[in-house]
Amino acid sequence: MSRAPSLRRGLLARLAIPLLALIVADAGLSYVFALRFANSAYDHWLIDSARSLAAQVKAEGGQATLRLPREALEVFEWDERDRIVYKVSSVTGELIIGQRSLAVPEPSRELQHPAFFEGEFEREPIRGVVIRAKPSGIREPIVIAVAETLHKRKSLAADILAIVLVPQVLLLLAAALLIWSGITAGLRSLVQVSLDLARKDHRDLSPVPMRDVPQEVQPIIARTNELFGRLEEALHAQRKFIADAAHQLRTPLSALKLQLESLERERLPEEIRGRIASLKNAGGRAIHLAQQLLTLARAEPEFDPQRSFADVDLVSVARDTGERWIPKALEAGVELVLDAPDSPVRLTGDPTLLSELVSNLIDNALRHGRDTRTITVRISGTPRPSLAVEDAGPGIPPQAKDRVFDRFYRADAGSGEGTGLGLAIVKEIVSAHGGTVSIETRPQFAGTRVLAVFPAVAPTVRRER
Amino acid sequence: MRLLLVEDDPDLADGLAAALGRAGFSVDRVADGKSATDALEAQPYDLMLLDLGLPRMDGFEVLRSARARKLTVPVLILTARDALEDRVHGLDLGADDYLTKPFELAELEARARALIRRSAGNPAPDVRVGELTIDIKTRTARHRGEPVNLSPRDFAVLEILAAKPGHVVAKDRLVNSISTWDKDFSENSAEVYVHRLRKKLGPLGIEIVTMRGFGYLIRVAPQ
Repeated sequence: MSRAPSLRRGLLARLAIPLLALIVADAGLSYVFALRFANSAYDHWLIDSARSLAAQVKAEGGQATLRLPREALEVFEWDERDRIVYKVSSVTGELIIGQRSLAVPEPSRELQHPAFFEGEFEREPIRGVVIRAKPSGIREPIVIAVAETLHKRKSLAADILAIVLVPQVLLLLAAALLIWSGITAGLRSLVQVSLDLARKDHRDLSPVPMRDVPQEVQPIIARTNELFGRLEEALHAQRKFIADAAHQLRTPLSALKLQLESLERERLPEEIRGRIASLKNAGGRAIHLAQQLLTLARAEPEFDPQRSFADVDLVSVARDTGERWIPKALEAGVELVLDAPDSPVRLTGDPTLLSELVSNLIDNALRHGRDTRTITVRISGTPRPSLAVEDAGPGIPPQAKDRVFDRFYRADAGSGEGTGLGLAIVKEIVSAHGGTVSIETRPQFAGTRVLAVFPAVAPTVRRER
Repeated sequence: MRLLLVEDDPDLADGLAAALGRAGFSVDRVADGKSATDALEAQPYDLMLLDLGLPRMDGFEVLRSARARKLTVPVLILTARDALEDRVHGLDLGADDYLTKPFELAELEARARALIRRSAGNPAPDVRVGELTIDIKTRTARHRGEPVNLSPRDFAVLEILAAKPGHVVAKDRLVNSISTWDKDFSENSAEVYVHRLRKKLGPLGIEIVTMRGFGYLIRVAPQ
């Protein structure tokens, strides 16, 4: 999963990388401008300082001299953060006062016109100004330079840079957050779609609802729904084929059965009679299997069993169906008992399928409840309509319990009888009626008990039809 | 008894014709709906066995046209379709009975005879349970020719139980049928009378089995 491209990460990367580059470029540019701004602010002070120094230069015997009291010098040189150095010299380079080691470039030819310079003083970068002045009474002009280290300037530039950059970074973060949450919100409808898909069982091929799905995703869902539609058709055709095939088998199987039955009535040698009996047995099983396949196909959702639903009395279905099994039960030495309330137990269903349900449960109990003396069909109307068929047979092994409702699964595979479809049909019929089916066996129940519980009838809804 | 068999599956038609022939019917066979209509036109039959899925004209159509021409021949539908609506549709169109394939030969014969008997106006022949013969008209019962001593209520109970030997009769049906002419007959007295009848028939090798929740069933007692 983590290797798959992520919409969120992809979009964020596409946005964040260029934006980040832009911010870096912008920061560089801003810093240059900020430094220029800081320079122009502090350069004024440098000029002022140079000019006020120039004003203090006096002529003494034709010689330019500068005498400053110690306090004044201290005030001049004092600065909170930067070191300030000066140098006053003659045009020919003779030092009058100040730092001899301060390297000063050639000043402008024009008097009082400042020329700025950058350099190093005692291994620290500095910026300074140099002017040419001609105090009154002096023949030759003098050169005055004032320079300072760059701490104030850099810190101002850094402050300006921060003021510009912080909002930009905040903007980038906000954009990333908005994109992340925007995509998350956009994907939420996809989560709904995936929940809709997850909730489907393997037979539900109805289209996924398109509501609230973003336009961009709609084509995917539309194609998925189309695929569902085609699958549904194919499945339907396949099940219809099974129903048709089972149906078509009936006539030839009838012919087979009939011929064998009339053959049985002939005078025949004992050996041939035995063979006819086993042919008849095989024919009977084929007929039973075809019938079971047909019933199964009819109970499946594709056949839409609900269209033939009506108001049914479970007690009369169980009584009518049970009656048909009495001769067979008596023949097997089993007492078939109906335990039902005197009043009808109503439910909404298909009487033919419900009758098949009862038949299959009794058939199953007769086949597998070996040595049981009784089989009880128990109907109850409370709290919900239910039907149970119980035998006192050997029960089913625990490992088979979860599988008995599977198609073609037979707990006692060796016995040769039965189609393995009986309980699958039971499950299908019960679920077509919106009910649930469960099985209890030894040791919890003394034998085997299959219980089908149906939803209670909503009495008013049915009348509308 | 002349019987028209309308069935397009040759194997099934062969088998049916042979079996019914042996059972004493004289059988005419046709394999499509059009020929069936023609055959009904040509001569009267005591019974028609009619398949529904037929070439040229389906079974429902044959039935409709026969009834439209006021032919009263009893019709027993034999079909692979067992959907309820098909069955109802067939009976609505005037079929008398309905058997779903595959069926038991014995059941087909019994139903065929019952239909012919009914259409001949003789719905209730003597009923037999083992060696017990029940004469509905004279309301007497005989065992190996010897009369069995039964009260009218005993006989009424026996008559209802013996109408379908080997099949269960619900208790409320028993009570309902008898209480129409015998107001004193109730659910409790049903048990009393069944018990009395059981005692009278037991020595004759006939038993009345109580099927809990279902009702009563009369049969020859197993040896």
